[in-house]
Amino acid sequence: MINKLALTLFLLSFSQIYSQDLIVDKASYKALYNLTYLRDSTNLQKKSEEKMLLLVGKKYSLFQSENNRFNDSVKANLVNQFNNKKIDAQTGVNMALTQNKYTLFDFKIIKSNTEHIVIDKIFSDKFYYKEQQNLNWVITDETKQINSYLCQKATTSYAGRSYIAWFSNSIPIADGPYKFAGLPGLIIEMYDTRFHYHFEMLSLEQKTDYFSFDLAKIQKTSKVEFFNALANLKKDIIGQLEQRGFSFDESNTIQIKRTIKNNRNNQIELQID
Amino acid sequence: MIKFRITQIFLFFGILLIFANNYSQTIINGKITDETSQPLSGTSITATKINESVVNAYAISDYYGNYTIKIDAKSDSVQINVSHLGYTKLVKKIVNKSQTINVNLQETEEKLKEVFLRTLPITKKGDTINYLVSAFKSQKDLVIADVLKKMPGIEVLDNGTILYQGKPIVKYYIEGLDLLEGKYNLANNNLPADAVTKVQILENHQPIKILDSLVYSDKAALNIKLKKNITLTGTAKLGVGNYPFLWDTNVTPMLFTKKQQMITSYQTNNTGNDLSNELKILTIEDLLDQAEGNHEKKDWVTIQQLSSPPFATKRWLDNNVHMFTTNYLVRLKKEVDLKVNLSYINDFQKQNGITQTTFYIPNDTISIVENAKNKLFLNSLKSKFILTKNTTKNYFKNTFEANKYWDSNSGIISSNDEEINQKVSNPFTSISNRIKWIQAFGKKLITINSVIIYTNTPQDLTITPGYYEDLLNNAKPYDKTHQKIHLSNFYTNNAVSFTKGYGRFTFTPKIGMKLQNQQLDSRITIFRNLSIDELTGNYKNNLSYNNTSFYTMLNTQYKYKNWNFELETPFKFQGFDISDADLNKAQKLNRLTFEPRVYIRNDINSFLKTTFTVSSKKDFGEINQLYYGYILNNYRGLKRYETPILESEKKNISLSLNYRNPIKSVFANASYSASYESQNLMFGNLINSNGTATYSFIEKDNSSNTQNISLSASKYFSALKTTLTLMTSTSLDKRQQLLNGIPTNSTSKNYQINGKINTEITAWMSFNYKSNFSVLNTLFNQQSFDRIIMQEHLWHFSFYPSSNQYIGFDTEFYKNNGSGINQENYFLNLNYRYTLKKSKIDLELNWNNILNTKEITTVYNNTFLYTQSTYKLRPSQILASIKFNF
Repeated sequence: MINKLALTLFLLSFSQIYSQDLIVDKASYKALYNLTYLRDSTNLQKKSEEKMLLLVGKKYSLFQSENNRFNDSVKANLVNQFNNKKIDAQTGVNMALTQNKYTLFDFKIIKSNTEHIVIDKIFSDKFYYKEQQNLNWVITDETKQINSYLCQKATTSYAGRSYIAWFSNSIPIADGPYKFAGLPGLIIEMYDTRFHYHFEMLSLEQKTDYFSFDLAKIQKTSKVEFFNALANLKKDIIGQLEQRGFSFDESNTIQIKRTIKNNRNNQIELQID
Repeated sequence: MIKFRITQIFLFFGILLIFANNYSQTIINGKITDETSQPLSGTSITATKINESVVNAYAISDYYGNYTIKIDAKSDSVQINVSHLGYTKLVKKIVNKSQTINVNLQETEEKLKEVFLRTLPITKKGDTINYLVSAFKSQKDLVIADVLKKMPGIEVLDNGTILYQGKPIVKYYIEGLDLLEGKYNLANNNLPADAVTKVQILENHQPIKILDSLVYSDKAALNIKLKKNITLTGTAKLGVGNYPFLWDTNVTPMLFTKKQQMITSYQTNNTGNDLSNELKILTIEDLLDQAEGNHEKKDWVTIQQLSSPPFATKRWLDNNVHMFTTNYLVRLKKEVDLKVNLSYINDFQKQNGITQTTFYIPNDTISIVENAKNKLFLNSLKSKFILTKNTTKNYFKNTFEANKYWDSNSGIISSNDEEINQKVSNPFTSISNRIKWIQAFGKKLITINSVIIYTNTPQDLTITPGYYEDLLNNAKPYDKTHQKIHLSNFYTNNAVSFTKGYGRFTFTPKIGMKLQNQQLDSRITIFRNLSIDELTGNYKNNLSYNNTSFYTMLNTQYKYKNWNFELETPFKFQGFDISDADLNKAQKLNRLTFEPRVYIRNDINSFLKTTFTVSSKKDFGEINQLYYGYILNNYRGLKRYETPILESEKKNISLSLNYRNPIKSVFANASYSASYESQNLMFGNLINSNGTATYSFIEKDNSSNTQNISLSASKYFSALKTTLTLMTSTSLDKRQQLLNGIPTNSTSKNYQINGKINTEITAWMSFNYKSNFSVLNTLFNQQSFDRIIMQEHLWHFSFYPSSNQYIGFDTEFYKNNGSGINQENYFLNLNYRYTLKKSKIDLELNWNNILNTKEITTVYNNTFLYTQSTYKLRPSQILASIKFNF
């Protein structure tokens, strides 16, 4: 009996090491998108902005907020220094805190040809779920010039929103912002038809960057489960933000609080397809 | 096998369709491989018209490199484009018919070209952070200050001070030019946000270019980038209110070009809005420049002033003010600027109130009541001419300043069935020139500072009827006293310093010379029924005061890890030469002084910081504490100091501990300070039965000491959405003085507790509460005074019925207890703001003092006197205003 269990455990651990749980890739290009979005669908005046990164690797691409990536790299560096006994734990925590950059997007979307792996957080707990890539793109012959790129319009719908994407086939990267990919060229601009989420590419740079994720160390879940858990925590979000040390200008406090309170009422995914 | 079948079926349908009609669908499939014949997934295969780029159909190769494209096209031929990142693009023109095309792509070293499409809202380049104004500006924002408040990392305080990361900015530039020398409220509150393209924060900014790489600065400066090279803009505000007719108007045009800048403003109101705030210097750097050889106006004679209420000026200031200012900058040549700042203020203020003063003197208590009606006429013209040269090789700044005041006051006091008329004329002139010059000699920097100041104070006071009959008129009543004062003051301070660093040490030796010459001339004239007499002898001064000082000091700084030490060791040789030719009095004093200071800071960790300071300081009497003939300062204050020069030595120690934990949102602070001062002269006064007093010094060694402890802490409670702040402080002060010739000891103790609660009730309503509770206990020769208890409670409610409307509701409560007085005052104020979104016009309605509270009474005591003052407040008033840009 014990032998059987040991064998199972051994096999499990073996399979985890050699399965696709370890994702490693080297990115050669970095596309930077500016995301303008409406946190609160009841306040159409107030749009928020955040910069998002698309790192294009050989096998995978990674999409996440620029600040989130920065924070991750600071943390990784500090953990490394701590492991090499260059700093003590307290200093590490302090340094991570002082360098931490504000972001509302903790997700990391790892896209491959077949499926997306989404790593996200509910406060400090990390989860990942897998999602099949099955966007139904319709391309039109409508074109527009965005800077030096001739872009072509394509439409699709996803998670309760209809989208318009402008891609350029002069950039042979079949990728784009968020979970969107699969057009014959990079998506330069993309927005939903209500204009609540608007991605605009700011730059495309050659950049060698490595990313790696060990899924074995992350709690696996399903998309449905994850979204349910998130919904349960909606109410407490403001308090948590202020607890983390974000302070707001006295005179605008109530408006800011109101905005933050409503900040998750208009998420990019309105429903699970 | 299966594949073959599918191909067959496709082929069949394809042929069928071609034959059926002109409408056709071409199906192309195949496999994409790389040089080593490995399948290449993620390749895009597009079908376009020949030599065109619009995609008609596409496919992305799958995991096995396979693809299938369905083309709906009538043309005879199509173009197939196969591209994959890192591989040479393949273009193939084919006949428009279904077929299989397998492609082998060749790897390429060629890279995609880098592209930058749009500027970001916040970008960082080196030490410069750019904020794109359009990204932060919303429709209701009129001026740049409104937008600044929203930029992350930037804060604007109530008085207009701009903070970046919690620290005040060191410079406010417009297009890189420092037009306003720290008086940036004028630009910040009037520059339309629409005229500005970017706000830049210059981190680690060193305003002096030559010091840039040598002296590290952790301070930030702000720079305003305008949209156009030539900008003509401005704001205007017009407000009117109820009886008596109220107005509040502001017109501020501005012009900015590459080589010239100008901001002009005319503002006027009688609503209690103190316009001197607009001209306040807000940058520490510029304030420090001003502090050297302080030449602010000092009044030698005054009417009996009323103590102003301890809350917002707009509740009590009865004014009628006109302010005009113009600021002009011209770039003469590269890196050489000439600036002119001119401002004129004309204000007429009225004060009405009652003061009840009780003097506790040994064996007696004297009480007087004064009902005062004061009129203040304030008139001043200030001008500044600045020439700067700021290059990487040297720095030169010359500031010439000329200020003139034509102030006069008049006051009527009804006291004990008498009416006292006071008239004061207190003009003042100051002219100064400051030079700062930094030059590099090899690797050393030499700094030369030179300050020259001349001030002229010709003032006079007239009191009707005459007082101090005993001293001034052989104890007989008389009509009128006239006090005339003339003080001229010349001051110069010149110093040279070097800065040199050795490893962790930085040494700054400095040598300098300071000279001060003052001439005081005063006369008292008595107006009797039939005669006018200018008093001689002890009632006039013809004093000459000379102070020469040579000094050398060494500032040593040592930095290591979390430690920061600073040691200052100044040696001064001071000489005083004082003489009054008419009174035949003279004295000289020479002293060598050493005034060391040690400062230690240790950042224990990122949460906890501690600082420690010990210092010793030696002070000598100024001319206002050293003259031989009597001077009447006000109707019940007659002073003379017929003693040696006051010499005092003060030792000071302070310790502070600072804790901040942003994760747990806990902030706490504790500090302790103590000082011990010993001096050769004891202050004394002689109080007469009508409340008039004569003040003087007596030669007697005495000492005083002061201690102060304060604690504060704040915490945010997330469950209650509430921030709670608590502060407490206690101070103890012991000193000795002469009261009617008898030495007395006095001790005063002060306890204070402050509390603050900020809470959000709902999303559209918030609530703030602030309270202050203080107890003042004075012990006088071991005998205790009545303790004074003061309470202050402020409630503020904010409502946001919609995004362009705001309602603010204030309630204020003040309570005073002491000596049988139990005063309570309430205030109510209401504010309403409506923003017209499209036209960028703000409409505002303010209703101040709704309950029409007429006056406020405050009580206060110090060592030997107790004061209860009642001040007349502004009546209930309503003001409607409109604000817009042009």
